[in-house]
Amino acid sequence: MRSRHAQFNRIVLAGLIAALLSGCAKPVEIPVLEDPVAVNVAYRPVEKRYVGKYSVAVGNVVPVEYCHFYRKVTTLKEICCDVGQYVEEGDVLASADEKKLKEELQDLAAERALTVSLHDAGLGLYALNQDLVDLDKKSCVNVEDFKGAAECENRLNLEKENYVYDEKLYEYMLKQYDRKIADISKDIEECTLKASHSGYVTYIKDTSKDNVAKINEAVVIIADPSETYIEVPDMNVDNYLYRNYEMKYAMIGKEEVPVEEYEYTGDESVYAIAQDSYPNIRFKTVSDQGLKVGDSVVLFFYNKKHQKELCVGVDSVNSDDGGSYVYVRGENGEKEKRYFTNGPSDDLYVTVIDGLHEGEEVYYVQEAASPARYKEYTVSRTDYVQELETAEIRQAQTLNTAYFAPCSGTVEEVFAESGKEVKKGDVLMVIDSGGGRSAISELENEKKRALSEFEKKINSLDQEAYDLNAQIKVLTLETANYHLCEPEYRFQTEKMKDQAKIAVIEKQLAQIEYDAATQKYNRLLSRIRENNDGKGKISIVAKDDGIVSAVYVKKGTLVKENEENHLLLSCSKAVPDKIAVLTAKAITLPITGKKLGAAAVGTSVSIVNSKDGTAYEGTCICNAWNAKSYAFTEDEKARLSTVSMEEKNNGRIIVQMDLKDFTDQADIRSCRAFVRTLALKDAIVLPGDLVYTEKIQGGNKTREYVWKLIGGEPVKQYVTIGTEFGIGNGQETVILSGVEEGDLLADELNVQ
Amino acid sequence: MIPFIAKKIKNKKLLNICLLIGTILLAAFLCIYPMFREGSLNRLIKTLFLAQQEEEGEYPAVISLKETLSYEEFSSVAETSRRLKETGDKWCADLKADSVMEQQVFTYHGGSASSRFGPKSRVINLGYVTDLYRYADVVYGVGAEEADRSENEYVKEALENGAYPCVISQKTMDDNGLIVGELLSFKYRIYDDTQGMLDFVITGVIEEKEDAGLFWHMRLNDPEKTVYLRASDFDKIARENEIGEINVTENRMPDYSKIDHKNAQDYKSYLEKITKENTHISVNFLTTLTSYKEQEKEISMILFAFEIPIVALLLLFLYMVSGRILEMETTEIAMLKSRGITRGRIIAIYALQSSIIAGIGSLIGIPAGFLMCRLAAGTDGFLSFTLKDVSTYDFSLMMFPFAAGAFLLGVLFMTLPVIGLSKLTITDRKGLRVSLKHTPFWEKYFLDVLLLLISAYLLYNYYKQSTVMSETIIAGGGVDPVIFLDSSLFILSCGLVFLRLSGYLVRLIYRIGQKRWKPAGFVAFLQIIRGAKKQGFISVFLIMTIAMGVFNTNLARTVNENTKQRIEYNLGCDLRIDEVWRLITIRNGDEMNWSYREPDFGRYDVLKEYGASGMTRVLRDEKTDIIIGTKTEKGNILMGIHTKEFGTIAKLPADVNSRHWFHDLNALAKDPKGVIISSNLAEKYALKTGDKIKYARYGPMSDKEPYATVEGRVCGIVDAFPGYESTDYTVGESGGVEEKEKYLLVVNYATLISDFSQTPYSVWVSLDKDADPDKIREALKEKIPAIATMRFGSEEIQKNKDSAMLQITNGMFSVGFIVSLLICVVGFLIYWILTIRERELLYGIYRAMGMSMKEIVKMLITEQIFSSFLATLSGFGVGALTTVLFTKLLSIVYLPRKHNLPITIFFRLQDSIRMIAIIAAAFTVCFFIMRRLIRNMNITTALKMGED
Repeated sequence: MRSRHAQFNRIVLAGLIAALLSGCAKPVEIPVLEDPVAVNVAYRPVEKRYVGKYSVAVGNVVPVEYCHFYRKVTTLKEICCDVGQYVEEGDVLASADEKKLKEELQDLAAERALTVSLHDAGLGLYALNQDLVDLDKKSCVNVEDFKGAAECENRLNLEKENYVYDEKLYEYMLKQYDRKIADISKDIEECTLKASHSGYVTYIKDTSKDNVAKINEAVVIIADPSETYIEVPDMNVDNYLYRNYEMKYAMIGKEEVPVEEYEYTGDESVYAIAQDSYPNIRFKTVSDQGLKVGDSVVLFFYNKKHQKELCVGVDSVNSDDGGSYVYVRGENGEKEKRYFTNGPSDDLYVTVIDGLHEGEEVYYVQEAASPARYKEYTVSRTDYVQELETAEIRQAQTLNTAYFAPCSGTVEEVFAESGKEVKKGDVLMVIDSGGGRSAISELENEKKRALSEFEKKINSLDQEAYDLNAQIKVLTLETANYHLCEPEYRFQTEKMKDQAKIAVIEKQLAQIEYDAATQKYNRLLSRIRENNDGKGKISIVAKDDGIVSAVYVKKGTLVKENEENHLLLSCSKAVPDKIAVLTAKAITLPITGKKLGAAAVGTSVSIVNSKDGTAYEGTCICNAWNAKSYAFTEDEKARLSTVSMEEKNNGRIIVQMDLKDFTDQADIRSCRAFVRTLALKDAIVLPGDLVYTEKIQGGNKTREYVWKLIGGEPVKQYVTIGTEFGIGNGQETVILSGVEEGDLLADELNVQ
Repeated sequence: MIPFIAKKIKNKKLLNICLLIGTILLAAFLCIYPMFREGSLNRLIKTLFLAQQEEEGEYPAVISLKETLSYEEFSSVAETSRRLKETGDKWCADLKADSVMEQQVFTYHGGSASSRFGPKSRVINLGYVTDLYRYADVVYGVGAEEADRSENEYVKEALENGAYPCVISQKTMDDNGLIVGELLSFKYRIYDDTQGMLDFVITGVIEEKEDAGLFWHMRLNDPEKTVYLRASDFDKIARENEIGEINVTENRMPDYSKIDHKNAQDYKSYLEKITKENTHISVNFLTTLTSYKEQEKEISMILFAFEIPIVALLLLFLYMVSGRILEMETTEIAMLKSRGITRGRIIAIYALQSSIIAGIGSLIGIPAGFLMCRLAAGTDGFLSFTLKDVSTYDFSLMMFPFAAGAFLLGVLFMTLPVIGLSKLTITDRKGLRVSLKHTPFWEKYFLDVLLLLISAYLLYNYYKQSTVMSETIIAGGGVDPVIFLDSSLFILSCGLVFLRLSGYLVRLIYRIGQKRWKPAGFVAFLQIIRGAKKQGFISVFLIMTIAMGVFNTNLARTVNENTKQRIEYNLGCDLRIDEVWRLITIRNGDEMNWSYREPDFGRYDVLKEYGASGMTRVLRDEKTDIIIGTKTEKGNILMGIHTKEFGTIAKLPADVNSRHWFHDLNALAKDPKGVIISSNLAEKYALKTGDKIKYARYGPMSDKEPYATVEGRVCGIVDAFPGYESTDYTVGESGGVEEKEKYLLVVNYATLISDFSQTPYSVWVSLDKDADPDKIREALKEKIPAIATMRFGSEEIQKNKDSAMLQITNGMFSVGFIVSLLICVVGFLIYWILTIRERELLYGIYRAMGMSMKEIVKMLITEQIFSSFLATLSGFGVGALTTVLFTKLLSIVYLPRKHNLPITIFFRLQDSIRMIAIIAAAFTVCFFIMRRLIRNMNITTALKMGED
């Protein structure tokens, strides 16, 4: 009892002391520690995927194009077609200026005719001259001057030899004339470009500033939409790196379709490289996929043939003396160190040969913090269209004529006004050549001088013939009256008769020469007098109906013939009713800053009226990008045709659409044009903020990833996105690989 | 005279034993000073050298001679080696130190060498190391000395063509893409100004032997890109070719364990002298010795300051006991005087008597001091004795002079009271009794109050100068010892003031109750008033002993606990591990890209087998910029933590912040972009929770431009955080210490890595109490060879406890307390025994008058209450007051730096209970002895005496 009491007392005492020691202080509230929402470690399943180095490119489905060009520098007279127009094989596409060729042909024909006439007329001269020498010989023999007879014999042989030579020369000259005439005739014939294939005209040369087609320069390109191939912008025979890659395929929707190069022949490639002009690489799918012009496809290039293999992320793998190992999530959630045999690897993944199984969850540590608060986002497929706005839009001016100074002089009058309509034959400008009048006078003086000389020559020949005939008469009379039968007299009379005949022939020849000269002077005069009022003033007249697009000179400007700088003015042909054209500066891809050039033929283009927001749809019918080249084989020879460099770094596309909605120029200028640069079918497109970027260790390169929800946990999943290839923008990211339809992603919520 | 003195001693053997105890303790305590000082200084030297070795990772005592010789000055390797050896031997001989190791390295600055297999040319040096193959292994091929045995075809061919054989290190091989058999060709000028070719063929690859001991002070790779030749070849090349200057190095490693407090100054002077005489000589431990000399003064002074109060107490004790003896012998002295014995002779008699006691006491005091010193050196806290290694604290010859000093002091203080009494005659004695009623000198002139005021003023003054004092200490300056004496002065003066006040109190109570009390009470009070002077001594004694005990306990506890807390706070956890991370750099045009690959954190799981209960990554960057508006604060601390793991593993006292820090951790856990900031930053920029701030970090390649800047949202404000010290000290241009405020940002680890990419982190580990650091160290060494540092909290705390200053404090306080307690108990007991014996007659009278034994005991109890108990109580009060007033001030000496954990006075109930228990036990024992004395008193005799 007593001890109990004591025990009670002790307890009370201890309680009191404890209360005294601890009870007075305010207890500190210790909260339970919470898990941080931001973590950078998690588990990721071992899964099958391609491992290895690969590259991606985006290609557009474009029609096969046929170039039409001149093989020598040619001044264009007319382009007979316009972009968007359908032409049949054999249709005339363009023609060159053949006036000069025809004048040249005319001159050559006249020269040939003169040569023939002179030859024919002079045929009797050889016999007469031989006869004269033969008479001299006989005379020498008669007087027993054998030395003289021998000389005469030599002269006879020489004359004969000369005659043979002259005949051969005459034949040669005729051949030369005939060849030249044939060449020029062919050139005249080739001045007309004819369509080699039926199809749509996708390009015509811009002749607003220059109407000279260089050698091999594409003048007209025709596209046949029934034949297509996949073209990757900016990937050409020079910079193409994937020729030897063992695996190439196009991702069309979900399908991986093998592709192969639409190869250029060896000669074509060599010729292109030699010309330092590189045609784009073309691809075709091994099987028909029903691709049509305007579609886009994503191409994958693997350097080695791959199969999807079991792999783990490099951020999971560690190694020590025992080899490579990972931490696998054990049954009770604990980390289990597991060695495995690794195979080839790339920047992101290491293949597993042995030691791990598909689906096992492997621990990984990475720099990025997992999203703390997020909602689920389900990946789906959708058609993806990318439109990029062009820099400029203006009315089409497809058919242009440039007018250059035909002669040196001073601009006296300018009738043409920019934007004004002109009819064929209208005088656009007058140039005071100054030198025209003197040229005519000179020609007329030449003509008179030729006539005077001709008359002198005829008179002289007539006098000579008269004298000879008089002497012949005397001799004949003397011979008859005095019965002079001396051979000497007979020889003399015969010689005079021959000489009289020669004079007659020479007179004929003079007449022929004079006639030819007169004709030549008349031709030259008529050429000079063309557009010349006879006072040296040259009129520039409109070659065709059209609108003056620009006037480059003004009254008083000094111009010089055949100098490029002295472009006088240019006119454009009226735009066909249903073609609206916009010219765009190079389309620059977002984010990458890569210049796409212009849209592919067949691409849709939206033109939006900025005032009321009305959108009009059209189709790109022309893609003129600087220095684009085409390699092909024609007549068993490799050919290369290039599109002439237009404005530096700019591209030009022409869109065909219904014009009725555009009433005037102002309407077009207030519009904005959006080119559909890409059209992917069944693509995976994610909102931009779902995709994260990280810097690759040890460099400036970056790679992208999403947070894929696996078992409710966000797991870092690397993806290939299209941005690097100009696909997508800040708001939308096109995923080329890494996630599949139906995958759940973490859509991070912003915490304010 | 001797028998007379012996008889005297024998007659009052108890009191003389007390005197003997007093002198033993005095001598012992004084002897502690030289022994403890020398031991502490030796320990300090040892600690400084070990710290240097740890910090620099090399032998901490190397004397190096580096000469550059022209080919004319260079005779041969052997000759130069002999000369260098002589120089090294002379150093050791002069220092009277053994040479532990010697290393001699010879190098030519090489030129551009073309190679057969590798790149066209590379710069290679030529070298020779004495005893190379004794301390290096040929890991591939053969050594240059055994070149003829090489089976490498290229080597054979090259040797046949006259190439010199050489060996290279593994690193040189890797770095330069060299292989065995490689032929290196140098173009050199020969003496006659013509050019010649020197061919060297690599015959083998060498590596330093693991058991090479201290030999590799200069590592194989220290002279970069060096091929090592044979001595003969080295000489031949020097002789025949003008190949530039030859660098020769002698590294001599004397046995630094022989450096102690005695010869440290000699070493320092000698080393300063030789480095001054020859600028080619360098010594890597001169700074250590200089640092030692600076701390030496401080240690001596502090130790001295701790000695004084206890010595004063002991002298007081001697004076008191001696006074009691003389009081009893007053009649005897008067009789002697009356019988014509001169005063001098009387003094001589007592001086001789004192000398005998003091002599014996001093002799015994020396071994007692030795034991006490070892006891003190073995403490790890106040009254916390351990069996740790105290071998550095050894017997010192200086203990003899100190014992002699104790002897003299003892004699002096034992003889002093005789000087006054020796002039008294029998007649004077009556007057003396009357004079006992006189007010003491100190009380009369208010010396107690004056002393109290002086100590208070000093205290105030020191507090005022505390900042300057802290800075002086941080800068390595000494401590004013008066700061320690002031506390003793305060205790003494307080004790005297108490005595004064208790006298007033007793008189007051006496006056109030004198007419109402029963005889026992009345007599008790009368006795208290009458014996006030006699009792005053023991009261002051009690007060001083207890107050000093309380104060020392609290001070030691405060210093120990605060130091421990700060170490734990600064480290933040039980174990912090830093691993060497590989920095990968890639040049990208003008820019240098860098990255770190995180080593497998899972390797640390092995620690769980060795008592680790948790571990976490903690990223810490001390160069972070904080940007607030347009202002940028540079060089701040950024920590990246996993909040939950960190909260579990890190240590922080719960009450150092306005709320428990887990609240802030949870706030951070909820907000990925959240930032916990330090309160000093919040105050400076008036930041509050929810505000946004930016912070930027610098990469390892450039500290000019930050490589990333991110924005965070303030989610918590803390005063203290594990591992964060808000005040940094730097040495200013003037040489003084400058304070710099550092700010803290704590962010989520994952966010930090995500924003700034991966950079090296520390691994913080929490350990079980029984975790063995050595085993952990061994285990990690096997698993993770690239560990840079491993800091165990327990080791750092222990290391700090072992530091000279703290060891002195703990040791001296503990021993001082024991000594003071011992003399207090002895003094108390003696006083009362004598008092009772003195009053034996009185008790007889009281009994004869009819007073019961119970009443006598009651009387004794009343006396005890108003004398001893009140004094004891007062001792505790004074101790508490001194603690409150002085602890924070004195703690500055030990913890001069400003810290997030302010100095907290630690008062542990156990300490007080322990002390109360000891005092109570002592009192109880005394009381029982007294009771027994009274009981055993021959009452009949007493009664008879009373009747008489």
